[in-house]
Parts: sequence; C-alpha cells; structure tokens
Amino acid sequence: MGASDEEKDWVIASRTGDPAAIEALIAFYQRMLYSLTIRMTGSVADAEDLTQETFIHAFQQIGQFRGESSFGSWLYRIAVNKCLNWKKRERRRGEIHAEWSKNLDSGDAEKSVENEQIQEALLKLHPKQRAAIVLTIFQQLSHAEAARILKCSETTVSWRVFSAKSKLRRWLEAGGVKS
Amino acid sequence: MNDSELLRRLNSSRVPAPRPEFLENLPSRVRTGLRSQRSASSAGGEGAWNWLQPVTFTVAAAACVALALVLGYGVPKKSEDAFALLKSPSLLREVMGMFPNRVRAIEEDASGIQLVLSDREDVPASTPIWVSICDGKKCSAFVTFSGQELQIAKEKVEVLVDAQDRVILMGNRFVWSSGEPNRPVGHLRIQARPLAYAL
Repeated sequence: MGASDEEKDWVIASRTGDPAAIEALIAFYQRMLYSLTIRMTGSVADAEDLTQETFIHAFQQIGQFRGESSFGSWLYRIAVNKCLNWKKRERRRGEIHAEWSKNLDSGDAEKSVENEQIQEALLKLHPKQRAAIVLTIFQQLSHAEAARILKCSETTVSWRVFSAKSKLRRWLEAGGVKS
Repeated sequence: MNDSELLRRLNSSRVPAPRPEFLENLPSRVRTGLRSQRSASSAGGEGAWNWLQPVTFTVAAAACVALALVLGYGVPKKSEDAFALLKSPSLLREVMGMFPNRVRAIEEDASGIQLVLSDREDVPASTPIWVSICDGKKCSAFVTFSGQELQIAKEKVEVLVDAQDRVILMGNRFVWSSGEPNRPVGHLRIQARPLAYAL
C-alpha cells in the first residue's frame, strides 16, 4: 500500500484540520474500511458505525501518525482494533439473512445462500483468525502487511490463516454453520 | 475441498455494498464526531469520568434548550430530590417534541443539562429509561431509551430493557441489571429503571 504524493499532502494538511484534506482521505478510504468492517461484523449497521468511528479516531489521533507505515495501513490497524473490541449483540440467526437479502441483490438464490453461509462461517471464527482471513484473502494483503497491522509476527498470521481455512473448509463442506 | 476451491468460493462471495446515503453523509458525520470529541475533552473530562460520546452531538441546540428549560422550570434542587428536573415528564415531552425521533439521551450532571441527539430521525419511540451513576460523591443521571449507548468509565455501554422491565447495562467488561441492583461495578453505584409515564 504505497502512498501517492497527493495522499501524503492530504495527510499533512489533515493534521491542521483542513476539511478538504480530511474529506479527500475519507473518500479515498471509505470503501476499503467498509469492506473490512462488514466482513468482520456481518452487519451493515455495525460496519457503518465502525467505519465512522475509525475515521473519527484516526483524525483525532492524526498527530500520532508518524508515516512509518502507509496511512492506509494505519487506518486498517485502527479499524481492526475497533472490530476486535466490537461486541456482537445478541442476534437471531435470521438477522444476517434479513439484512443481507435486503441490501445485496445477487439475483441468484443459490448464490445468496452461499454468500450468507460464508459470512456466517466467518463470524464463527475466533475474531483474530477472522481478522487474518479478512486482511489476507478479502483485502488481498500479504501476510507481512497483515502482521504489521495486527502487530504480530508473520508466522502467527500464517498460522491463523491456516487454522481459519481448515475450519471454513470443514463448515462449508458440511453445508454451512449449524446453530 | 482443496485450497484453491476454498479461495475461489471465498473470493466470489459478496457483501452488501455501502449505502449511497452512508457514503454521502460520512464526511459530515466524521466532522461532527471530531467536533463533539473536542468539545467533550475541552469541557475537562477527567480520566475515567467521560460521559456520552455520541455519534452526533448538537452542542449549540443542547445549550439553548438546556438554558431555556432551566429558566422555565427553575433551578433543580440537588439537596432535595436530585435530578428532579430530569425526571420531569414535561421536560422530556417538550424535548421530544422539538427533536422527534432524534433524542438519544438527556444528561444532567454538575454542569447542567445536555442533549444527545442523532443527526437522523432514527431513534425509535420507546419507554424512557432513567439511569443514575455515582462515582463517590459525583453523580450524573440520564434519561435514555432502550438500544441507546452511553459511555461509562471509558466503556461503551448499551442500555436495554427486558420483558420484565429490568434495565440491563451491557458493556464489554461489565454487565449490570436492575434485577441485581446491589451488584458492584467497580466503585460505581448505579440505579436504573423505566420511567413510569408515557410520552
């Protein structure tokens, strides 16, 4: 995740509270963060809240961003921490189905079921395994980049990904997560 | 299922796309959140005593409404029935009338009354809930609604009401229920109940 010169200028300007710079960074990263948070929580409402909270936290603490990693990596780290601290509300099994079928028009009933099964399986994973899978598979980061975001070793990321894949494979082969 | 098949299935799965109105409103909501954080910290939050960091917080409206209401209803007498003004049904009805479906909470502490508002009309109507929290001699009180979140001792706490009208405060590190009112939560003393009037 290399930073362009334009992005570096936005980051510098955002330290002074420049609204245009803040807005530019939000526009640039909002979909990236949303895609992370929706995979981590399975909830549209929670994904929106966590995306918003991540940006608020990031700009509040912008003075602490030293530029040693990319701004995107820094946002990922904040977002992942918020997701790991996110408390899943008591939800009925049908809620993913209701929310996803309302907001995701896959046009194919079988594909809809598969989408929901995969998300339910992800939610069944330990949060840190889920984070490793989401960062490396869905966000397409290397294990090294994921390790920097998760503040652990690359070996730990690799192990979490391996364990998570084993579980996902088992659950999906069995036809989804049983309640 | 081999690894490549698993990866194929995972990568071909889809999630709901972000709502256009969410993306459109996100910059303004972030700016509002930043302003409310700055207001809260400049008001002298003391470490763990950091009440209510809402999604949106209309400071100006809250100050005006608080002043108007206090002048209209008189200064609350904390030495007698503390927070009597906050418990007043007419206060809540008036505030709800001014901001329909937007009132997340009304807070009263030593510095006065403040409103916590949502920037959308997305707060469902429900029975108001009274919550008071004391840390030593310092007390604050809220009127809020089931499903709303408060900040208690640096922790986000969800306020819920069960079918038996018991109030439950659910945070990451503690759970408190009005069914067990004397259960200690660190050094905090908590009281909560649904308010016995309709709006």
